[in-house]
Amino acid sequence: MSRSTSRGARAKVADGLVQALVWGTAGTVSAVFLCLVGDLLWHGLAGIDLDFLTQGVERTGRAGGIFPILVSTFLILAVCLAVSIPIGLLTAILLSEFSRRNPTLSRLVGASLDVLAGVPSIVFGLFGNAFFCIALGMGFSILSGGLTLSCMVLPIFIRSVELGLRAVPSDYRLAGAALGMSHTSMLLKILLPAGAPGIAAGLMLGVGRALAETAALMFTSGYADRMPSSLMDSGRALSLHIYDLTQVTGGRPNAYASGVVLVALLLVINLLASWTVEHIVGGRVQRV
Amino acid sequence: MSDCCFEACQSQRLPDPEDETFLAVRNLSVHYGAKVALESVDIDIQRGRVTALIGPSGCGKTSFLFTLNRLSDLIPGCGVGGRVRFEGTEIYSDGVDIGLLRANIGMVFQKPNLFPVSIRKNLYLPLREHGCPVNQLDRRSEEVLREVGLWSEVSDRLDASAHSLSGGQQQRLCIARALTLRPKLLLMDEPCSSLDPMATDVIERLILKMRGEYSIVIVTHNLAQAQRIADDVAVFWCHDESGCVIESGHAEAVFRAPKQPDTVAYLAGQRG
Amino acid sequence: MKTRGATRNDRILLWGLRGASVLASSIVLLIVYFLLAESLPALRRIGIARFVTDGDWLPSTAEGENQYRLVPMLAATLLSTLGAVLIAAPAGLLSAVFCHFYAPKALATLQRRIVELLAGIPSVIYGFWGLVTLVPILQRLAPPGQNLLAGILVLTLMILPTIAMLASATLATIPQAHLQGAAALGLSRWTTLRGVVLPEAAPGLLIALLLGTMRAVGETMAVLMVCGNVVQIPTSLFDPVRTLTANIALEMGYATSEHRSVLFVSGLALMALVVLLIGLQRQFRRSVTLV
Ligand SMILES: Nc1ncnc2c1ncn2[C@@H]1O[C@H](COP(=O)(O)OP(=O)(O)O)[C@@H](O)[C@H]1O
Ligand SMILES: [Mg+2]
Repeated sequence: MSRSTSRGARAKVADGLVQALVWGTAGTVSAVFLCLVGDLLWHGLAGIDLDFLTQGVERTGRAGGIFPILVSTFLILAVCLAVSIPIGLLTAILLSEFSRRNPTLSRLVGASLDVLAGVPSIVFGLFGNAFFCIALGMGFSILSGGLTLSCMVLPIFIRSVELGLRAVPSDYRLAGAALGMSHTSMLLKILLPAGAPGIAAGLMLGVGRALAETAALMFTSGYADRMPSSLMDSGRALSLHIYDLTQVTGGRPNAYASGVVLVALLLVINLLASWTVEHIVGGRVQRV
Repeated sequence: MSDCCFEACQSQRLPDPEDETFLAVRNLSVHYGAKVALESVDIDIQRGRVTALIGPSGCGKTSFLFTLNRLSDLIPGCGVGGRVRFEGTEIYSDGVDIGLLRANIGMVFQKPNLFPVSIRKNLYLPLREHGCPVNQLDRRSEEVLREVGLWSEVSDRLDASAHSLSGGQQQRLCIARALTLRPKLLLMDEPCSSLDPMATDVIERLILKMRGEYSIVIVTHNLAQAQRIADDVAVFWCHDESGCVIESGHAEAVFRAPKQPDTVAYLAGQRG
Repeated sequence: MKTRGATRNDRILLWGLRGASVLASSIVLLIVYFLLAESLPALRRIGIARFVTDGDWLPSTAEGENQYRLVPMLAATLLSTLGAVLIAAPAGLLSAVFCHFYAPKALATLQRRIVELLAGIPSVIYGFWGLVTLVPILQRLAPPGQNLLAGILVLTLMILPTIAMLASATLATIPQAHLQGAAALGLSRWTTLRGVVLPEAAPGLLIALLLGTMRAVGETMAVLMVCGNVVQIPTSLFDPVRTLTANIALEMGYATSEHRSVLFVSGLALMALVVLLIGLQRQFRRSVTLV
């Protein structure tokens, strides 16, 4: 009897300890997050005004604004999306709709996408430099950077679109087939519209990843901080600008401000992505 | 194995089909991976008549319907053996235009499966797919909606989402959608089983109205309904976990004087 | 008539899909090909052995006298990853457990959102924050403050959301009935966790851990900014180190010929590490689904 009470007491102590540990960890994670975001906002918000967003870079970033950097960033993003959207959509359709008819190809594509998703960004940088910049002769350019990023973003985009399409009830496919509809019109008229939320979510995840990327751009799109005149021009992405500013003395205030801009962009995109997934994709799946 | 089942099923063997037979099924079998779902089915389906398929759940009625318009192609692991001849064409031979076949053989499913678009779009989609001229879309849509008695109910909200209709209305819209292509044969897989009695009654009267005008194969669990609507009946049964047809013929004959003991038991049990 | 055209469209579509898929999956092959092609000169002329036996990392002295010892960078990569995983794995798990079993609903949602947001913060921001906040604190303990420990802590923060989110997804798959069964026996929360939850979630947690490890191995910017980048095998947590990734980022800009080729060799090594981890994870997934 006394034995069992002592064991019971010990269990109670363990239970309490674990509870403290769990709450402690959760608290620490939240505290660190608040500290990180708070620090960024505290030091960065003051530096952001219209001039900062619309003026050119001066004295290697210590002064002036980030307008050319923003333009380069969006151009790199545009190149990345222009390439990854069509390739990604088609591949996702193969994986979700035709994997049974092309089992070997689908398995290969799936495996290679898994590997691609795990390739470190600096390795993408090496590859982009060797392939796009040198072998294809594009040099340090927005085009090289955007193409390198599209290789990186593809697995994320494809998986998300694939999930979105798989979530479309198979009832629709049977109904379409029973009406003698071709695969092409099924896709264009039923599946892609019904899978649109998954496509949107994938797009935003991809954009988020591309915006956050730094290492892959160091040796592909380069460091030039002037206004790019064409896609063949070198252009510095926002994230790379932040890194560069930490390497010049007196660059911190503008690094903070650029950091706030980058994180704000990413927050909006990530929140939109998870909102789409939870409210639209989830809602659609539930309703049917 | 198949011999033993052949014995057990005691299904009638029919002679080779003649060219004018509407739909002839010979020695048909369906399997899912290693599992045999349906075996040695021989049956002739007549033009302009309603054929009811009855029998317990899981003995292959849905699988049978899926072989007739080759929807079985879409089911992973599903294999079909034997012959199906529709209006003189072997539908399992090479070079069959499956899109055309499915336009000729419409299907209505157990659960309404309208596309997540407007009522109008649901009817336009198959029409556009099969080359209906743009200026005829409205006329043809109205025609089929009138045929299924939906016109008065939905004519003022054709652009509303098809999913906003009630279950019975959705199922009638599914029938209308299948009719847009003027199919020569209409397959219906328990079209009333997800509906309330009122909606069931509406659909049943619709089928009675279509009788003679269309050729229909309908699966139903409701024997009273089968008796009311069917010209012919085929009884499906399970032996050793695989299905087969144990008896088929004129509805009146099968219901009044069933030949197989299993049929007798089934009919008695259902009336029970 | 129309239907004939439709089958032709279908055939064109299918070939389009196949073409795009082949293109998408050939990227990995291209990466491997270019890594190999660029590393080949170094592998031929220098040989793998010298990456270990050379006395030092002196990549750009006079031609012919260069030394290419990669061991310190490899050690830095492995040690920082190990440290980060050792902290982030239990912390990520605890954070997920918090959301599922301890927190009131509102707090759980908040915590989940925070973890999601942390996952979305780019590595350059983590590096920057580490540099301006963490490093000054560590500097007071042991100057210069940019050291292995700083790297481990920043990496921990970066992979914690990954592990927490995957762990949370795994915990969500545990059948409610098993938890109710435990509750019906009057088990305490800790006993339930230890006896029911952890054993059932173990495979998923291991996969989460592998993915976290993969992220830590490949991380560049954050470690580049806080680790100090001195090429040495660390003897304590307070020694500055340079990881394989940071080394590439630092030197690719000016490396030529042999030196550049050696950097590609280190890229190849990173790739090999990642492929190994992915292989482990796929193998593991397969064995889990077989059970
Ligand atoms: N997609 C499938 N995969 C595997 N087995 C199936 C599948 N569809 C049906 N079956 C099996 O085939 C048999 C016949 O099913 P079904 O044709 O649906 O019967 P019914 O419509 O008469 O109830 C059942 O035993 C069922 O389990
Ligand atoms: Mg059925």
